[in-house]
Amino acid sequence: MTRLRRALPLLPVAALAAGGCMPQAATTQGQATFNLYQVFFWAGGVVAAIVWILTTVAVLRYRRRSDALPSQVRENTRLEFAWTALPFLTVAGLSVLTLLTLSTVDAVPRDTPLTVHVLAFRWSWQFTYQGQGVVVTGDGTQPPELVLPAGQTTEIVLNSADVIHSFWVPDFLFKRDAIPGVTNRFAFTVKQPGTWSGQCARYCGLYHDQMTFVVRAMPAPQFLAWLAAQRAAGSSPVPGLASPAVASPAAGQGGPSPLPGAPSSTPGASSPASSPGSVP
Amino acid sequence: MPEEIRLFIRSCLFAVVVSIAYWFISYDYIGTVLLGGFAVASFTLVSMLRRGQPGRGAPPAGSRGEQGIAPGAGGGAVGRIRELVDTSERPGEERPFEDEGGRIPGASLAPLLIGVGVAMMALGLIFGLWSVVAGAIPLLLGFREWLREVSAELQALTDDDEAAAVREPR
Amino acid sequence: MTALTDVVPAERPRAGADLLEWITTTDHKRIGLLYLGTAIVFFLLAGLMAEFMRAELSAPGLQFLTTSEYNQLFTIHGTLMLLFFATPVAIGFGNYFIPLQVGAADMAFPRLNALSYWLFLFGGVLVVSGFGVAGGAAQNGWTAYVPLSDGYTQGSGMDLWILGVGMVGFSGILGAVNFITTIFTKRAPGMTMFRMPIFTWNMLVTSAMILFAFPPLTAALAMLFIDRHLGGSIFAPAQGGDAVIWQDLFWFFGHPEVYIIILPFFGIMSEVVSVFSGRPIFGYRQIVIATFSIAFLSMSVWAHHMFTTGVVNDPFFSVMSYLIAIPTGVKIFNWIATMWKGQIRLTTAMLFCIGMLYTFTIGGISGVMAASPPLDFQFNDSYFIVAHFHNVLIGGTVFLTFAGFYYWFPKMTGRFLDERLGKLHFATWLVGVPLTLLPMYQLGLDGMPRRIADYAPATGWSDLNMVATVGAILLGLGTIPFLVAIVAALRQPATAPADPWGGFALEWATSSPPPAHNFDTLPPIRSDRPVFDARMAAAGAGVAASLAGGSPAPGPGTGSVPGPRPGGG
Ligand code: HEM
Ligand SMILES: [Cu+2]
Ligand SMILES: [Cu+2]
Repeated sequence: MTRLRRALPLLPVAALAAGGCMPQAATTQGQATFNLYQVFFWAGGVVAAIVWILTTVAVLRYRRRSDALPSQVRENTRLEFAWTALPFLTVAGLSVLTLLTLSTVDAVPRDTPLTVHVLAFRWSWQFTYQGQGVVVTGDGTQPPELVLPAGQTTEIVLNSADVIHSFWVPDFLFKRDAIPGVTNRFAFTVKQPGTWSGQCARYCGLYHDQMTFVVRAMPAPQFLAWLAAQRAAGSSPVPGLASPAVASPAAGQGGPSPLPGAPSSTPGASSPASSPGSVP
Repeated sequence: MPEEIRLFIRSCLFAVVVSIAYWFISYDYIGTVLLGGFAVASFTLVSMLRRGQPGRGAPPAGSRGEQGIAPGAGGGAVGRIRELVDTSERPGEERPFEDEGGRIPGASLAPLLIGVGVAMMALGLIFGLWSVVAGAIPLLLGFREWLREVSAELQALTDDDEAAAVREPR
Repeated sequence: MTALTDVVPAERPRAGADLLEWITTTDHKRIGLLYLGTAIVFFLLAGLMAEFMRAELSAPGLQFLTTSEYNQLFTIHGTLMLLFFATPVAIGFGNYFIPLQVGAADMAFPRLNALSYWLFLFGGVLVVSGFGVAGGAAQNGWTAYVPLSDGYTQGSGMDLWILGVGMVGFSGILGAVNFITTIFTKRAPGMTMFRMPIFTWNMLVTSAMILFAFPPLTAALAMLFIDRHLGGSIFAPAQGGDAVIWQDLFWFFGHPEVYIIILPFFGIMSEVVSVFSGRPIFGYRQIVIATFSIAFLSMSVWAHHMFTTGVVNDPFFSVMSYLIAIPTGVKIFNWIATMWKGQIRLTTAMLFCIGMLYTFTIGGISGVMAASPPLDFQFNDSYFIVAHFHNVLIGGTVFLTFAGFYYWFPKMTGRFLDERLGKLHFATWLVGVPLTLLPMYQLGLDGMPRRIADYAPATGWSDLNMVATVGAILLGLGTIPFLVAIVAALRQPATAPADPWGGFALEWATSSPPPAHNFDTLPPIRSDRPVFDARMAAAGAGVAASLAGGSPAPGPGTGSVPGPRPGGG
């Protein structure tokens, strides 16, 4: 019985550990986030353990045993100071780590070898490879593929053609919102070749749950071959979007008329076609 | 200074400091305006509460009788800041308990009428003007009833003034 | 003609009392009961919606609902839970107990009080009635981000949502004004601000926050309505509007709102823990200061909900958000210190408070994690966040709502809720909460976004979702004993004494339930525990004498021993 009691506080710790595993990061930026998460997770575990153990001990030890009036002490300046100062130091430490990691994750190098303009629209994605004449547009039947070179840093220029979406690749441990009228830039370096799924994270209307995409990273030579093949195949299904310049900041200003008489009700039928650039 | 006012002075000071800091950190005018609005709202409350302070009618029940600087606080700016932080106890006002039983308003249909009116008018904004017009009727009836009750109570209060002043504590 | 009637109904309010009496009431106790009852109905309704959603998510593929139905359900579930359950239930407790705790006969503005209730009720009816109109209820989430809810949403469900939320917001402002005025002007002789019970303090601070935070919401809703119906383009980027301003306005309300729905419950926690430990609340002054700090800081962290937008100053909002963890942690330590060396009675109310210390803590810690922008880049809009806010809302607000019910039910009705049913209720919820929420944390980390009606089998999310659904069903079942206990209690005769628990604050100085004018007489108020003082004074001069010298003023390093003052006898 006493053994059981002693093991009791460990149970929730085990449960928490079971509910808190961050996936391994596929990008170097995500790696920084992953490392930061480990610190937070264990710091949080220690805090939780302190609270749980103190609570458990208090309940077990000070259960009512008699009618005697318990101690009526109600203040202890030293204790109160301690439990204000310790959390303060903890969050100060966490703040420093956070700000350091943030600068890594948010950093956009000046000259990345590749820039991809990502345009989110209801309910798919369009990837325009800047200066390459390659455009990949999702048609809603199956997730569009964002093909990238592994080991190189890619800059993403993010816009939305209609409502707010969010570009999220869970294994990159990163997301950023695609907001009409706002251009967001970020960069990541995929460590190894591989395939990961991505999904719109910001609720964007009826078929939000189907707004998925795939990221495929391949070694640089293969990637160049892929680009060439796409160019040869004349990948530019949407007239007017062949030039990557279109998916520039101005693109976000476009979008379907905000009171669409007939918003497409089937997934995939919509397309940002003809919208970008139609509004100054 | 009573705690009631100090509460909002603190929030006003906090809002001023944070909105200034925020501006110089972010140069974001939306957030600064929102935080500034918080400061202005706190300040408005402070000045309204100060206007209702002793010297004019009865002080709020239980508020500190004495004015001026808290014990232990020096004069000047430091003293004033210290007073804001200070939360020490001062004796409560000694005033006999009054049974207010006879002074609380009785049943009234006015709130429900106004509530129904507002809801109907809201529906009218969506479904058509007729509902706005229909909602105005209970709304106005409610207001009329409310005003009628309040003026009757005021009347009764003035009639009853002396009796109330010497009401026996229990 | 005169409205100054002496309100002393011959009968206590009883089930089935004359309808007219209830709908014309201006008595704060009845209005409090109306608030509590209505809020619980909305809670059950929203809970039912949650069960539907969990059923749908238990396995990949659409089983029970269409996508649109799912989207309506999470929108109305969230809206009802936050604005029509959590906020009003606090206002209900406040209505019933603030006048009692400060020793007043009623609220400062009884009629205004009734009006707030009706606006809240009709606002809720408007929001729910969206299910009956063409196109269904609002389906843009409780945050109603633009431009989605602007030009991209047709149908009057969205408009009903805007107006219903607007009405409850207005009702909240009226209620806040009423609470503040009551606390400032209606306190009994001797009841200084620093002798007020913590619950009253927290309701005061909450009311001030409502006053500051709700107007931006009302303004934002009005602008949205203008955009939708009067040709505005405030939020329409295609016409030169700004899509981000909505988020600033919404979260300037929305973040304080989350503290608006936790601070009153922290107040309940402080009351229950100190009474059932037989000790004064530890660090009264520190708790009050912590409450101020939480309130002030919470006004300046709104954009931690916008880290991923890329257009806010992430470091500023991150650091400000961390700071809030400090006063919150302080409170937790004060509660534990209150229990320490006490004589803890494990009543159901106390059990829910202890349970809160276990569950809320996880929610608090995951909140600190989410205040770190790099981590939030992963958590935001994922099931990690869903788990986080349910953890604080269920582990905090809901647990403490239940604690408040078990604790104050005898005072409100003169009847006890059955303790055995209560313990069953508690046990299922204590198990159900981690069972529901821990899988959600992991799902979020694994990449499951929130607000999705369906997911592909290939995602590998099925098992954890099934576990979460089982947990949710357990929570649903666990609510049944609570409802049974209420019904059973109401069928019993009222037998509860004035002070069944050995309480501290003034509500225990009058009969259960109290008479219409609340008090015939008040004990002398010389500390924050007048009823305790009076009990000690009555218990004998011996104890009183040994404690007489105590002054509540803190001195460095010394604990003072306040308690019964002989003057109180
Ligand atoms: C019985 C326990 C509960 C269960 C099983 C439950 C379940 C759910 C589910 C399945 C969702 C939808 C998640 C999504 O698709 O993104 C949700 C959303 C939500 N719930 Fe609950 N919930 C419960 C209790 C509560 C309580 C007590 C509150 C608040 C006091 C609450 C507040 C919310 C909010 C604010 C949302 C977000 C709505 C939105 O995305 O707009 N829930 N809940
Ligand atoms: Cu989307
Ligand atoms: Cu927040």
